Amino acid sequence: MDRKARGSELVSSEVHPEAAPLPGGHSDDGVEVTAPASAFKKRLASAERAFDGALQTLVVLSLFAELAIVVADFVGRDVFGHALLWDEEVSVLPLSVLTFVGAALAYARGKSLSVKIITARVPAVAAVAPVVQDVTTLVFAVVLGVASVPYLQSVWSTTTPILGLRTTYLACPIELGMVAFVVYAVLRLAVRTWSELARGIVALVAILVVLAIAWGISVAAGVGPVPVDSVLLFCALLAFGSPIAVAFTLASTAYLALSNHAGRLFETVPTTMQGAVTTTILLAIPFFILAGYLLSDGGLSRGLVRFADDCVGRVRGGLMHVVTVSMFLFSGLSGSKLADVSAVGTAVEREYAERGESREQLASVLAVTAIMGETVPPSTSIIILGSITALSIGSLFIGGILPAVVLGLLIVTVTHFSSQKLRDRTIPKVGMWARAQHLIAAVPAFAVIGIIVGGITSGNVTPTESSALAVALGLLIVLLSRRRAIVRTPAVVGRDLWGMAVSVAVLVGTVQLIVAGASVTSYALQIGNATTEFELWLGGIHSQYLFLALMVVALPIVGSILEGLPALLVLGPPLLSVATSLGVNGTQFGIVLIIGLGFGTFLPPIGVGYLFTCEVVDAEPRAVSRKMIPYLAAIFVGLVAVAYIPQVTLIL
Amino acid sequence: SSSGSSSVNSSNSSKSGSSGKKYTVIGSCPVPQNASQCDILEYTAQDATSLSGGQLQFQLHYNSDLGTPGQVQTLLQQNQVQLAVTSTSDLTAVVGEFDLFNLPFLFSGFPAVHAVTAGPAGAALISELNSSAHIKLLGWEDEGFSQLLSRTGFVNSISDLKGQKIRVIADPLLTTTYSSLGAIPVPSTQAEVYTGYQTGEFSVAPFSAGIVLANKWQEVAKYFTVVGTGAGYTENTLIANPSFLSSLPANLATDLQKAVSEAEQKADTGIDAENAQDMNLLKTDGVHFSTMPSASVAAWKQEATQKVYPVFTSKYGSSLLNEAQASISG
Ligand code: NA
Ligand code: NA
Repeated sequence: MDRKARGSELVSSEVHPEAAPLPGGHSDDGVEVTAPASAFKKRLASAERAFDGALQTLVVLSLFAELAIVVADFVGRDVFGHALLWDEEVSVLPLSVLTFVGAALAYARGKSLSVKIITARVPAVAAVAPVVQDVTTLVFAVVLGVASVPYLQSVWSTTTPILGLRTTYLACPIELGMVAFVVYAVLRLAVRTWSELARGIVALVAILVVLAIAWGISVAAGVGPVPVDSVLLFCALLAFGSPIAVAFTLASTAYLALSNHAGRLFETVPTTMQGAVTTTILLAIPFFILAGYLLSDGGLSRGLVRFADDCVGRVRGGLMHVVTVSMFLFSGLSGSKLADVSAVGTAVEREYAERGESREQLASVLAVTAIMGETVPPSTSIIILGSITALSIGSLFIGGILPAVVLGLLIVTVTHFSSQKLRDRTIPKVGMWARAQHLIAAVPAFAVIGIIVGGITSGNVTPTESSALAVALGLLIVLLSRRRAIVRTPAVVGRDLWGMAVSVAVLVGTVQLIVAGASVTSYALQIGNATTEFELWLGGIHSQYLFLALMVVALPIVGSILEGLPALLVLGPPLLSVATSLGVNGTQFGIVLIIGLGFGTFLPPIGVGYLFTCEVVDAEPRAVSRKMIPYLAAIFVGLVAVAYIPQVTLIL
Repeated sequence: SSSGSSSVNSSNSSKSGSSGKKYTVIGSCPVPQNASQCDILEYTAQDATSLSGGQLQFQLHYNSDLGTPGQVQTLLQQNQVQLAVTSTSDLTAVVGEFDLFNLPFLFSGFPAVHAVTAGPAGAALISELNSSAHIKLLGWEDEGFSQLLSRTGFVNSISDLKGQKIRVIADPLLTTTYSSLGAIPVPSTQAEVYTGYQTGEFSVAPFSAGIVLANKWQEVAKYFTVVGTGAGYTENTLIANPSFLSSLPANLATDLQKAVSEAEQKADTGIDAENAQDMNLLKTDGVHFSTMPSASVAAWKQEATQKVYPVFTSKYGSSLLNEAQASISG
């Protein structure tokens, strides 16, 4: 096996001391720092390597320990009739490690997710952006790190139900992650020249001056200065390419601090962030990514994709249609959009690229099919909507099927027309015998899929557990296939696994940190009563058509900022009551809500799902956003159809 | 409206000087606004607003939109949230002794619950919560007794539970209650219950009729076995931040406490009728009903008392349980 796993490519630069990341040498602005290596810098670099290695060890151990716990739980329950009981409460720890330590590792590798619209177009901004990014990240880490001390103290009295563990122990990775962020930010700033630093500071002061002026103007105009400045700060941080998570957290913390709310404010920020990223359902995401890497590395994906290519390779956009169908089926199992993308995306990404498929198109198709999958039962969003409103979950499930089919057909149509040039390569004619061989080679992959599907539909494993099962099967297959090939020693397999686990942590950390930051924004909006004002304003609308028009435009934007679920919790009940009072069918509007907010999650430039998908398939976000335009238009058409044609939802 | 957050405005600003300083109280209830669990918070907000002549202003949040019950407790300890409805099960995270309410077959009915909350055991719990977690318990609210909702069939004897996967909240007393009967307890969050029933991840779970209706689980599980007042019980509480309370002027603190006492009464009024109505709603939704024979209930009680009570007393000593039992029988 000559191909290197995505993870093992990283390994070579992460485990071997000679290639460890050097301070400043891996900044995402592409400016290589070429200062002469002094003795001080050498010592600094070796200290960073040791630090980085320790953090890697932590994330790798967390991931595999959690895997062992989940597998032990369902094997114990289903085979021996005795569940672990404490697995869920303990899962907070690895999730917290993957989020906060993983995000720090991602930052050190220049992989924090940011918006590059301005920095790519305005050279003056690009010149100062790296220092602004590092300084704002440093401020973020210091604020959150300091706030986490009283937070960790305040949960000292709180324990978990079964094991009686103190919440403080489970939550301490947030503090560790912030320390790591501080270390990396300082190291990155330490290798900047004085003039770079000075220009960066000037830019930061300029931002503060603009904020001060805006404050003055707002006061004079009788507008609340705090919301205005918070929004401006958010935009400024995004414009200079600061990590999106940093922008969310700093802008909302500033809002909370300046709007003079009662209580020990700063502890609230880590409380909210920790809560947002430690729900058990999120565990499926790292496991499905790891499973995808393993299936890819073990050659299973190759068999599957080759077989699919035999079947549909001659159809225009054939392999992309395979993704669409896979996502439809997979979303019928998992209930979580990002888990769907993780599972399908990581499994096919490398094979597709090797077959000349465009990564940008793959990312686009994955993202929009994830929106489609949101209304395929089961769906976490639908269950939550059903449990906070009077709507029947069963009717929502049935009502969501046809809209998903409509969206699927729209996606297939766009793929068909945008794939014209992609598949004009000559495809060698494959004989019957070769096809049969390919089918046989695909059998192990079908077996894995069969075991997972069977496990979930029979009720023997939950979707989260199925993700762990997929990893376990993937590991088994990698070990077996390698033993047969005698290409790699166990040490090499171990090193590859290490690299994969670090990649998983980097990927999960970047996305989870945004989810955490967005949760602070959502908290600030609720405490600031913004939703009540929105609702009052909506009360002035008396036309069903106008209201729905507003919804199909506003829901994606709101969903993009508030990251789906919080938006659903806050806006679901009031919007539904307005809708039904205007005569819109509740189930129909429920589906509009789910698709609209899901659309937002995958909307460029800051939708978490969109950024996540780009990372999963290793595609450049801006190129993806261009490729996505026709797809987004199609989804929008579908959303409008669901909003204005009740039959789409209600006929089944 | 059924808003995610809503303000309760003063309807009577003639009393006690509406010109006084205004205090905003952020309140949180983990379920939808119309759920009976939120009653104590809503009545408190209404009464306190009018009693204080609008000086106390309430901003109420529903549906866990500020976070999970555990997070809201932490926010309340931080004085970001001043008032919250929380179950005694959720309070076990800070004071384990609240597990008392999860002891099977402790309460024979609501009068027994009231005897305990108003007696020395209730006082001990309140004082422990205040001293070790800095949470002030202002009021109690009855929720209901758990029956068994199954997707596969009725539970007519405890041997019917043998080998069955039963969904419980993660609590050592509840897991012991069912594992001692040979069932396999599967702890899971509320959000996972609907699909859990659907796929057969578990087949049965203890719930009150009201909570089944609120979450629409009757859509996926059709067999409701009435166990009566015994197998399990849920009590809610209204909690507050003590430093917020002490920051209030004496007259407003009195207004608030008075409002809570009135709300406690109103929220618990008609709870039996409500329960009967909930059962009827389940019946109209096609749920089949059966009552567990009293001999089976007695056998269960025997088993549970032997196996589960020692788990509680070995952890927290026997004085709290003794006090509770004395209040009930006295
Ligand atoms: Na478990
Ligand atoms: Na789904």
